[in-house]
Amino acid sequence: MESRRQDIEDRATEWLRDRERETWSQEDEIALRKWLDESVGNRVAFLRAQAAWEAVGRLKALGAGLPRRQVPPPETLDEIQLGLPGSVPEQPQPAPTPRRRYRAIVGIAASIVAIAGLAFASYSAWFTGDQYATPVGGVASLPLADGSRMTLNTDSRVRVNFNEHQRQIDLSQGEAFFEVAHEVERPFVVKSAGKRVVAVGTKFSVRRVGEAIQVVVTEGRVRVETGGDELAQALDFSNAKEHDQRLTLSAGAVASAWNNDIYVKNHPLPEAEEILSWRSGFLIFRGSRLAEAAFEFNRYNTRQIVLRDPVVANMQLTGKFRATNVDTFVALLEQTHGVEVERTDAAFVLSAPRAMLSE
Amino acid sequence: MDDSLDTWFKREILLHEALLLRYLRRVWPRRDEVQDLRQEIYVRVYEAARNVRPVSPRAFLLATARNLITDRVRRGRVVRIEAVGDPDVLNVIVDELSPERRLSAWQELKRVTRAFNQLPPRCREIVWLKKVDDLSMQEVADLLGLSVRTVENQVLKGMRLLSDTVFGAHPPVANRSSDVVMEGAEHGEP
Repeated sequence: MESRRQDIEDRATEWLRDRERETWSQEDEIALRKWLDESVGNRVAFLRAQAAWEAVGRLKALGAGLPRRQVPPPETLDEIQLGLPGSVPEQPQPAPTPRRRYRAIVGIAASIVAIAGLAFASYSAWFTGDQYATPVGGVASLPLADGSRMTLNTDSRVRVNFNEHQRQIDLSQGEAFFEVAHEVERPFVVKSAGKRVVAVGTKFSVRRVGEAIQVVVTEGRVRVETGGDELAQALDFSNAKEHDQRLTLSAGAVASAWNNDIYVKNHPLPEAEEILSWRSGFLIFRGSRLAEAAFEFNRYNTRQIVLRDPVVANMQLTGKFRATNVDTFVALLEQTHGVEVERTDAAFVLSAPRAMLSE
Repeated sequence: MDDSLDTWFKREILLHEALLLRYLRRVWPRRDEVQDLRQEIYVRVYEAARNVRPVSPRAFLLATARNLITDRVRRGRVVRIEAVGDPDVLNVIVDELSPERRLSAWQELKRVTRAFNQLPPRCREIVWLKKVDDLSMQEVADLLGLSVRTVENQVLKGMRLLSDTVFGAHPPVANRSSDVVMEGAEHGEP
């Protein structure tokens, strides 16, 4: 299947080729201009092909000392290049101006501060509050001192730190679901990846993936806040004014926050609940790609699913599976979908059914 | 028709194609859509630059890419939001903090040479004669004892390959088909 983009790029190179003909006329040029003006897509495709073609003209610099009409082998071109000025490693780079050097140092310093800040946060976490962690494949539910209940998903780590002003949870890894006891004067705050999820009395989950978090709300309202975090500020290159985003979510909302962007999708409540079916040990997929399903299974199992080709990664599936029972899941794919499986101690390597590949 | 905008686009934007593709491959789980996204991003950049030329083309290109991904996610397409949170992406952005680096003429020449040397032998030969020796299609055909049609087809082929490799090429990959496409493994949690 060829994409529309591919068609445009093919057409663009055909124009470029035609233009190299001796018969190229004024009318042809007008026709080309018309095509270029038809859409920006046409234009950028043409510019891209033209720029690459023009760049090849730079090889004249290498061909200068060579006999004409003889094409030098690749090694010759590489050798000529080695002899060119500028190719010696010691060749002085343009010295950075003081301002530039300063900016570079500030940039590096900012990153170090950010990293040091993070390191400190996790270091201090070991000394204050109660730590809880689950192993891969484990799910644990426990009551908290204020009457709230916390359910930790696989391979997760939290610190619970309550004082008279605030109930704070630091989720440094994984995912947790909270059923929060109502206390107006003492907000319940989950901190993760530099973002804050604030609730009064409600039910919601927070999942951390790298520097992003996903929040699912099943009851009441919660507020997601980003910004105020050194790392996010150091990394954000778009617009410093966008910091401190705040967004209130209600039941059924599934929100993802990365840096200072928050994406929200509202689902019917049962669907949002389904995302949290891990609490009873299940994974539910509805028309999901196998790549997504494998990603989920790999969170719960040390023996990983590895997908060998895009065809198998794009296969779709629907079903409800026990999260820790990866053997059954793989066996099912093998028997009902004809997926090829290679089993090692550490992994299941899946390839597309032969029939699909030979299409 | 704005020739200076075209020149700007060729000089300041296309130069970063390899970086753009690296970024897209990291945040977008469907490899087969990466080139389509690249084209869409170019369209957006070109259109935006009609009004104001961005001060830092490279940062602007990456920001445009990020916004496009965000739009796609909002529209609820197949992408997993987790992919956007891939920690590797941060490396690309951290890289942005360092002062803008322009390729030296020598580096550019090296890049072109590498792309050129990767062409299939016949195609490489014809591209050289056409572009470096400035021969006409007919002269190339006569010199090599080929039909003009064959020469033209080879020129077309060369143009197609070069438009992907001159700007978008990464150092040669051993075998593309052996790339394991596995979001779970690539975007896994630490």
